[in-house]
Amino acid sequence: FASPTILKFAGQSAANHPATAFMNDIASQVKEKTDGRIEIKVYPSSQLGNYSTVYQEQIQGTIALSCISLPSDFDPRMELVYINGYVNSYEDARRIFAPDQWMFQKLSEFNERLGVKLLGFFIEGFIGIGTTKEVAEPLNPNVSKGAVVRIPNMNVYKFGAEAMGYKTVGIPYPEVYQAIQTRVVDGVDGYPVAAAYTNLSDAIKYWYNTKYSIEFQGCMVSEKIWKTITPADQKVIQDIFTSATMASIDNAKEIDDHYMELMRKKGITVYDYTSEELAPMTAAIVKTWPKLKKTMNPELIDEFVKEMAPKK
Amino acid sequence: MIFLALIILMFCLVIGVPVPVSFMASSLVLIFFGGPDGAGYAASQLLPYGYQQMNSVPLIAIALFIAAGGIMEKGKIGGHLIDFVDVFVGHKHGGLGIVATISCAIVGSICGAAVATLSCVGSIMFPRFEKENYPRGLSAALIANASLLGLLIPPNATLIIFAWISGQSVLACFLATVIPGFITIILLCTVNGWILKRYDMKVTNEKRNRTTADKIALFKSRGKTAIPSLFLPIIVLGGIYGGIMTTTEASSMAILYAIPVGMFIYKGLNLKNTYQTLVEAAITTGVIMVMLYCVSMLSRLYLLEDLPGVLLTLFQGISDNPLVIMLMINIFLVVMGMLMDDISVVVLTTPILLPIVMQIGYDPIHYAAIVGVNTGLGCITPPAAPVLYLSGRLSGTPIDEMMGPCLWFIGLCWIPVLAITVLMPKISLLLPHFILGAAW
Amino acid sequence: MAKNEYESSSSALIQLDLFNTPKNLFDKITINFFCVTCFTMTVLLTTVICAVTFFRYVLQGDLYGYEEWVKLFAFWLYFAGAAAGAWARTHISADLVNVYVKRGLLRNGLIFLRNLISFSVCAVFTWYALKFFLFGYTGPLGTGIAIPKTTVWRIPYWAGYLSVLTGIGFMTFYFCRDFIISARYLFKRSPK
Ligand code: NA
Ligand code: NA
Repeated sequence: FASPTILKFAGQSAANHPATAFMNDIASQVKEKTDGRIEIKVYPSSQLGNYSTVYQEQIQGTIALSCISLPSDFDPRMELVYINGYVNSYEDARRIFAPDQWMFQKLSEFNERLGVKLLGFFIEGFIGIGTTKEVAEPLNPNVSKGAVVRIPNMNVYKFGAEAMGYKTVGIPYPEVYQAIQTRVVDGVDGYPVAAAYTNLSDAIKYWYNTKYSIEFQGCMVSEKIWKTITPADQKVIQDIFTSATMASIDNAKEIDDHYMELMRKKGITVYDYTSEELAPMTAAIVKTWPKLKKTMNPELIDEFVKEMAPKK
Repeated sequence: MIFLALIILMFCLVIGVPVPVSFMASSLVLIFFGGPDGAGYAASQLLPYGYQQMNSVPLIAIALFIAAGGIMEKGKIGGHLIDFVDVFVGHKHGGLGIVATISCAIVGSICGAAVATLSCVGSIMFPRFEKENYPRGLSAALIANASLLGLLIPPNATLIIFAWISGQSVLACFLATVIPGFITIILLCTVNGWILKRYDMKVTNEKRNRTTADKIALFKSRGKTAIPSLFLPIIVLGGIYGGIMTTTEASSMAILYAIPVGMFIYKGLNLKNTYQTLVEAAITTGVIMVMLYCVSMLSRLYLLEDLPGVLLTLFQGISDNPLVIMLMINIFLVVMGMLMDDISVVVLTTPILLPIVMQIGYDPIHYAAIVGVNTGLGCITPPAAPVLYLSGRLSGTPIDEMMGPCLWFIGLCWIPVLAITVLMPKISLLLPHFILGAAW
Repeated sequence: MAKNEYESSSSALIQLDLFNTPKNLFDKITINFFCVTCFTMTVLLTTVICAVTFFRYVLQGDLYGYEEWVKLFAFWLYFAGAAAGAWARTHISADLVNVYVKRGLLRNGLIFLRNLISFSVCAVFTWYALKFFLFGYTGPLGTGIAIPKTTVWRIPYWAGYLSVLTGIGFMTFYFCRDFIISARYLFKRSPK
């Protein structure tokens, strides 16, 4: 017998995180359905580097598979997926992220140019706002919230948070916990429910599940390595990723609900909202989209607005 | 191949190849001959990986605290601070050692990086140790050991990384190491006094004969001149814990405050030596950072070779008793600590060991304290003992003179503290329990 | 020239004083460049980070994307410092040879070997660093397309990679200098 092909599968989430379970599940399915011809070795917790280095190695062909945030370093257009306000329900997510839809097609196109193939993605859940103090009228974009929140280092989050009425500052990721604990900032923007609970539940007192963005990790394969796999096995792997992707969206609601329940148990006040309640916030964020033309490809933003703006 | 890589590492270190280059040499073995089929690894992945690891804002705090340490030293700020500590403990047996240890704890609690503590306190204390005829091996070893107190007294980098990987609360991890930290302070002071007595070392200590009246007079006079220097810890600790700034920001504020104080109040600084101090600090930083860069590349290759897995399988074959496994995990951590730096050990072992630790029934927060003490120990265990080497370099002491006293500190301070931390979970869980309401 | 580089009491190379040793023109230019870079980067880091604190605390505002700049400054500080450290011979090493091996052929041989390893290993990594820099400079596909840049300010990554190449490159150069000195010392046996 030929020895199995071993593929490295790099992830960024902790060993006990749902994303790692998702990766492990894919690995065992691949081994089973290829009759052991292909073995996937999972490396969680950014053991093989952060998402940007992992992606770089996929371009070069030294890491095969990844389940990571899409890096905008090589192509700023990939920030597309992080734009705030285009998805705020699980039903939307199922429709918008389907493999034959615009978003998936666009992301595939950007990746392909760099020699990386998009196989699917992992959706962890929605992103909200966690704070140490009660904010003023959380659903009214026209009222200043009276809170300074930390945002990820991306224009899309800055514009989104400002549209919702928050003041924003950039704090490097490793310093966020301390910054909240010591009240350097009043809260965080850009954390999904599970991450907010695991990392910040000692520090935050309020969780506003405003769903202005979704926690999205792309599953990619290096084209250089993909080419060495037989078409039959390629199809097996692609199918496993596709079904795992759609399953992750179904799973996301459970993960969100689970962690919000844990938050409540910990004494955090949790506010969850329906799409209708969130509509004014969403509308305010949508108005900021054209501002992105300054840093992102203007034609792409026009196309995005056309595809994603709420249909009246 | 992993064993050849380890042998090359040892060989290079022993013949005196600079530490970062020794790490590079060991990496080269794996780049050329590593991998499952011995075909090696693509070198193109290594430098980007190291770069990304180093591309971190909290690391900048190390550079700025080293610069602040230099400014504190040349600007005579640290001296006034240490003089003030001296009023309270200087007259005791082995007083200067106690002054150094407590000063390290104060500065270390501010810094969060052992090397910065070391360079700040060391540069002030080494001349004083020399004046009081302390054997330089003892003083260099003591300060190397005491500078690690910053790893146990929060905030610090290794525990933030541990919490991040393990998904535990950072604050709980911070609090877990506080009591072991205080025990270490007491033991370091005691062992220092004991070494002096046992070897009958003739240390000058004119402060022995201080009367109470002397002490009050000293407190008044030194307290008055020390006020501007006392503001420095107040700005840094108050800034961090008062919610005005992050650790990195506090480090830059320290420089911003210290330069004018050193220039205009204590008059130790002028334009020329400020320039020289900042350049020298940057070189110390550069030397450390290149070492970190190389160790992160090497750790990556060791991980790909599954070195931790190989060793772990070895241990698991020996016993299934939780305490024995915990003992082996500790030996494992110490061995890893001998081979690489504290941050790499945490990054490398936490994802692999934590599930096992939890499986055999240990609390992850308890394990955080164990890791904290172990990484402290790892920083002074050769061959990869950055803190020990830096202390030797700052004091101009050859490593072999430091080894004797250092072994006493390891044997009589670190090992007992580690044993207490492992065997008595409540020591580490006490503060998280009472302050955060964590279970125990 | 070479013999001045040795301590009178041992055959080890002595550490050099950055600010007082007379230098040749090449060293004058390069060492000054590294010193000025170190100083400037420290000042820039302090200023920018203090300003960030001030803006947030006093004006509740933000210097958006400042992280990208301070990380770049930090890399130049690290690697300019490392290069100057190699010139001044302050890199950390466990110097057991000088302590345990008596003066003579064995010791000179070991020092020669150590400097040979330092120089050649570092040279290999200079080659890797060059490829690393070119990866950033020409983009992942080598065509100038998709040059990696930071998210907010779009600072090309190669600006930071260049510091690594410069730092490791000059470390190699100075290790080579030490290698040549120790080779001369070994093969001439003892310079009087
Ligand atoms: Na500390
Ligand atoms: Na060590």
